[in-house]
This record gives sequence, structure tokens and C-alpha cells, in this order.
Amino acid sequence: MTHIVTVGFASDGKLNKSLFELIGAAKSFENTELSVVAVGSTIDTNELVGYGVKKVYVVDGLSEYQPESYLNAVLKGLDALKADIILLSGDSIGRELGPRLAIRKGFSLFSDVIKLKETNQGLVVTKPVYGGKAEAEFLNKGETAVVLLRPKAHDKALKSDDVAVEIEKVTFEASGFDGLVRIIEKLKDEGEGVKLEDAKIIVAGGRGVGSKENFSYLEELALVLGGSVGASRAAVDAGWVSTTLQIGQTGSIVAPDLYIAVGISGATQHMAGVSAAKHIVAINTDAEAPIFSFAEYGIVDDYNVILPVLTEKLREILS
Amino acid sequence: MKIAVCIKQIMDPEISPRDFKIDADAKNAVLGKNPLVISTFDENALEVALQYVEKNSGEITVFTYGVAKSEDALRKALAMKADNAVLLESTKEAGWDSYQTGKVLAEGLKKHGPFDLVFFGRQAGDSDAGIVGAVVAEELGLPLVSFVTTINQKDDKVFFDRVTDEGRERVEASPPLAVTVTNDEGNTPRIPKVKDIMMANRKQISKESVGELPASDFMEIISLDIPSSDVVCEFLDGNEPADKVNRLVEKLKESKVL
Repeated sequence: MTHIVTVGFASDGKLNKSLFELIGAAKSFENTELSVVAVGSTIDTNELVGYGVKKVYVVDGLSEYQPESYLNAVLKGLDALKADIILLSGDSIGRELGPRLAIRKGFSLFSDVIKLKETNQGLVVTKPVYGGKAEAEFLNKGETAVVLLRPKAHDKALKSDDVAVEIEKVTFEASGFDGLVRIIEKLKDEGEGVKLEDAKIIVAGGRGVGSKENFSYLEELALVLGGSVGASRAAVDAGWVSTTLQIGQTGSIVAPDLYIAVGISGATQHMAGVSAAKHIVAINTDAEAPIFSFAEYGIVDDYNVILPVLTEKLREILS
Repeated sequence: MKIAVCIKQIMDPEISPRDFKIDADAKNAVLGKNPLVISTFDENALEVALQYVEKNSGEITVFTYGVAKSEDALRKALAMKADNAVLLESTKEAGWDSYQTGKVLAEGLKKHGPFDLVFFGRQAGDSDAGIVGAVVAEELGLPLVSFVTTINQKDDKVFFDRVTDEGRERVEASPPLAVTVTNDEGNTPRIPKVKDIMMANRKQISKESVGELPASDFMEIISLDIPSSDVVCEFLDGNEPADKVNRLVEKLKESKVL
């Protein structure tokens, strides 16, 4: 029997959505026991009923995420149970805490995992390497592991109404903040509107956009479509847009219905962030650009000719 | 402020997929004629450290763990105006186990330290693991501030701007600390001047042998392959931009996106 512990966070009382992706991934294992360690404040564990979770360890009283206190809180929850595999979402909190948890527990650690399976030899995980140009399978040689799952790589677990499992809930009060690293201010950013991770439509620009000013073409199109603007790392590094708009393996992982890639070459590390997009449209002057091997529809042309026409056309249709 | 920046030399991640080859039996990428570079986020980390020292004060030592040719990465860092460089020299290319790498670096940092700030890129451009900074922080007993884009000091307080899934935030923390850095418009690595490159070539690099590490207790790579895409792009042609746009709009309607 493999004991899988998924770790969830609820700084505002509501468990993070990616926890249900972790539970979905855990359910693909046979012969497992599933527990949850939840850290946050005023956590409603009823949200977890119907997902096959047997035990929930709640560390309550931490209303705001602070790395050192959350790390200690997760460790406290984990102390109470004997985990074989600890699953965390590879979001910014998971990527910060996961490695340190693994080290403190003496577990193996695998990050940015897109697939995992139990074999006769042990746990085998698949993760992209070389900026997404290749995929590697790793065998866990240890008995235990912390696994950070790439967000949106797994479907959320489905709720079953038929079995109302009694959840055993154990609550600890957090010891509070230790003062080492303190988040003092949320800084405002120019990125307004829908969060990239939740956007249904994204218009993203890359090096081919050419300048900061030219991103206004993308903004107008996004506005008409009710979508958000994103960017490749090249556009961020060029200083044209904020790093919070970066999409890719080291930026946001997005899953829109429509992704319009404008002047984006299609580097694998960028495409790693959009593999869950339902439809990809690419606009690029270079017919040989790798982006066209990911796109469903392609237009080989200058975007500053195409986008104004497209924006106008959509404005007619959608208004 | 005594500052360390840990860097890794990797195959240039910006090469085109056409030039990327793997050896499926050896389970690694084939370098061939591709260039070796400092892993990109490590360069951002060095840039953040350099900017901090320029605005305040301090001395920067760059560390790398790798084979003899990793010296080139240290020379580049010196050309960017790091003060000192330490090569923790291995006789074999580092494996996939970031714990091992982190422990080697931690030993080197202990020997040359203590440091007030120890910088890392958020993750290496080849393993994409993002673990080494955390391992070193744990080994040295330091708090960790991650995904930092810029650092400011006011009196004796150090402020770190960082990026999260929610946006940006400002963190206050007191050294000694470990810091991982992510790319941002404000920390694009500087291009060294020719004069500085020549100066860097004459600088002394401290070399310490770490021999060959044993096989990892934690992980073993069992396969490596290049995933293939089965998407076939439908190019929407037309004489006028409006023709192409109209065809695209039709397609998007068909797929019920609009």
C-alpha cells in the first residue's frame, strides 16, 4: 500500500484548485491510501468530501503565505503521518517549499513532473529537460519521494457522490511567524484583468513583435476578445513587457481555449507553458518557425498588417 | 557584504531544435558544435548581485561545480566584473542528482565563506530542476528567498522584489540568506567589454578537485527522448490580409472558439 500525501494551501480559507489535480494524479495509482495536508486559515475540509481522501491534517492559523512558517507548517502536518509519496503543485509556492521539504525529510525530489507511475522497480516520473527539448524518465531509487507536478498537466479529480467517506480531521495550531523572511507588500503590476492561468483567450507576443509600443496591437486584440496578453521570455528579456506576463516552463503555465502566438518563434521552453491550450493560432513572417509545428492554424505574414484587420473584423462580429 | 554566486555551465538552451541531438543510449544531449554558456538564470543572478554591489558595496565570488572546461563560464563571470572565481573541479560531467551538486557547492561555500548572500539562478537550463539553491540553503542553514528579480537596501534592511503566480511582492529579510533569481526586464545580463574580457583571462581562478562522485542514491535516468508533435498546421493563405483574416475567423467559428 502506497501512502500518497497531497499538500494543499488555503491562505484565504479556500483550498487551491491545483490540489484537485494532485488528487487526480494520485488516483491513477492502484492500492493507495490518500491523505491531505492543508495549510492556511479557516480551512473548510468539506470541499474534500467525495474525493477518496481518508485523512486531512489541517495546520490552521496561517492567513498569509510566508515561506518559512508555511514550510514548518507542512512539516508539522507530515510528521503526523508516514508518507511514501508527497505531491505538491509546481506553482510558485510548491517550487519554493518542495525542495526544502524533500531535504528535511530525506526524500528524493522530482520537479516539473508531467507523468508519474508505479512500476515493479518503484516510482517512475517523466519530466521535460533541456528546456523542454527532450523528456526524461527517472526511476526513484529511494523508498520515498516529493513530487512537484507541473500545473495543468493532470486533470482535476472527479467528485463521486455515492460514497460519503468520513474524513478524519486533525487540526494543529500554527506556531506563527518566525520572522526570517517576511513578505511586506504586494506590488502593483501593469497586468490587469484576468489572470493568465485562468484566461480563456490569450494573445501572446515574442521577439518578433519588435518593441514595447507594438504590444498595443496585441492589447487591442485581447481587449476585443475579452482575453489577456502574454509574452515569451524573449519579449520579457528585451524589456518590452513585465515578467509577470511570461508564459512557459519558467513563467505561467496556461490552458486557454484559444492561444494566438504573435511573432513567437516557438522555443520549446515557451511551448511547455501552452501545451494545454485547446487551439493555437500562429502569426509569423517566417514560415519555417518552429511555432508552426505546434499551431493548428498558421498565417505567414506581418502581424502589424494582420492584427489590425483581425481586431476590426472581430469587433464587428462580437459587438 | 560578502556575496557568492553559484553558476552552472550548460549547452546553450537557445539553440534551434534542429541542432539538438540526444544519445538515447548514454541518455544525455550531444554537445556537438553547440556552444556552452552560463545557464541563463545564473547570469540573471550574477547581474542582480553586480547591481547590488554597484549601488551599495561588497565583493562577489562566483562558484561552479563542473569539469575543467567550466572555467570558461567563470571567465565570463569575471569579465562581467565578479571579483573572484572558484572552480570545484570534477573529473566527470555532473549527473542529474541536484542533491549531490548542492552538497558539493555547500562544502565549497563553507570553505570560502561565510557569505552574507548566496545567489543561484532559479533553475538550470538543462535539468530544469530548481533544487540546488534549496539544497545549499538547507546545508548552510540559511533562509531562502526565491524568484527574486531585484534587491534594494535601505539602512541595514535588505528588500527583495520577487515574482509569484499572483504577481509581484516585496520581501524583507536579513542576511545571511540564500537567494534564487528569475529573469526580469531589470536584470538582463550585461555584455562584458572587450577590455574586461582580456582582464578576466589574466585573473587567477581557485581550483579545487572534488574527484568523481558516486552514483546517486536518489534517482536514475532510465530513458531520454525527443517528443514528437503530431500537429499539422493548416496555413491560411490569401492574396490580401483580409482574406487570411476571414479564413481564420471562419475556422475559429467552426471550432466554436468564437
